[in-house]
Amino acid sequence: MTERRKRESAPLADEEVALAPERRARPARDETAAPETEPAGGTSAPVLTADQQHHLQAYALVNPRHALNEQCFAQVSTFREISITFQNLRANSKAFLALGDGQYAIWSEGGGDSKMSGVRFSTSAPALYLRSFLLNAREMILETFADCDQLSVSLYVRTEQVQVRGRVDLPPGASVTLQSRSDRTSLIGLSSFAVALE
Amino acid sequence: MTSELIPVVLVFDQVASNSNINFTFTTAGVYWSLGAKSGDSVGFSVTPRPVDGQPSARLQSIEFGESMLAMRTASDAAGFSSFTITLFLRVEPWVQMLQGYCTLNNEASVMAYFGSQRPMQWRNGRISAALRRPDASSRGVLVSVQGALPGDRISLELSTMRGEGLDATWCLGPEQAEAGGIRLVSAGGALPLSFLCYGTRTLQFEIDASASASATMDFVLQAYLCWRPAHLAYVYLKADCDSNVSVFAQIDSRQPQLVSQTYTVFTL
Repeated sequence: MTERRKRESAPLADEEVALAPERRARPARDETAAPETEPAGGTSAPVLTADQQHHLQAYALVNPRHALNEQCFAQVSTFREISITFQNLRANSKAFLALGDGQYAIWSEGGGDSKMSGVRFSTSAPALYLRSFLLNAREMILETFADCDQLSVSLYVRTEQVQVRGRVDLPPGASVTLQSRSDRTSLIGLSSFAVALE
Repeated sequence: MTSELIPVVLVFDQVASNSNINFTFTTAGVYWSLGAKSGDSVGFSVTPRPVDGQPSARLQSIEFGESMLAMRTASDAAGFSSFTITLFLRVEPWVQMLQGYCTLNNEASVMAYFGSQRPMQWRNGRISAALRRPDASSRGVLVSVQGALPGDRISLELSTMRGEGLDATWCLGPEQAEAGGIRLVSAGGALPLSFLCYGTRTLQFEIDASASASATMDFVLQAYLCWRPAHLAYVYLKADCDSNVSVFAQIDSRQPQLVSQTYTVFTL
């Protein structure tokens, strides 16, 4: 696979990793994307000018996280439970929680095995007073329209790391507690966190 | 070959309060998934539809795992609820379709959009869908124009970073059968346009100058773009309109963003 080629040209290697999983259906295009790593005379792909290489690298450098997410999704099959409880989110506020940049970990629904547990958003209040909420591979964003005393999110972290780091950004007065099987941490305001996953 | 992740949008309508809703698949090889994209990816999101312009609490809990998607609507929500859920579907390489069942009240319906396909309509009982690999060469762009007044002209320009061989154009979408195609929908019932030009680099709209200013002029266009070379990661959109108009664009399963009067970056 293209990921294992030419590690010394680091930015372009990241880009190859980013390309290969997403463009599986078009292997021929991947070849022309990085012709400088082709053996000389091996293909008829055009060689990129310095200007074109600069453009490609600009795109690749800007989003190294993309490759990390795709690799983690494809290669890691360990899932750690974690539950996140937001408290005292006032009306019309936004809470933000994200995994750290360099972490080889993504949020997950827990993989296979027909589990009854996965990603769960719930509340002890009569309803989730959320204008919207969003959870992607690394970030969680909540927006309330009424006071939310308590909002629970339970999900999995897809990682082989023994701990995971990240950051939160909460409105004044709100707090969040992250609880894994072995560890618990509570945060307020704009803070970073590290929680052991066991 | 490995599994493909297909973005799914489920638009719920007329869901009763204080009830449990469950989607279960009975065929193999299809699983709900959080997906593998971060940043501006829309991932798993739930947006209740506002009632009379006010946000409303519709759900008490929602959960999904690989083989189930379940939610409970709030007991204090009056009448029916409407909301939109986005999610991903992880599909094993050999799988062409899914079957299953859902528990909904009889009045409710779910429009299920898989990738760029035309939506399935699911009601209480058996559900199914024919699945296609997402098209790698085009992306759907949902363009939403709000706040326009009669006589306004709006244009939306698509471009890429300057460079040889880098190009993006508006197109007609995937060439698959049952692709969703271009759709123009008015928020107010009647389309307020007197002119629409769907060009390769620019979309142009002109609002009917004789339309009543008190009627809503908001509309939504489902457009598509395609690009060269295959690994292009970002495009630029630029809106050219009066300051009372807001143009929002959403590419595929990314989060929507307001398009400014200059180059606004959108991830492909």
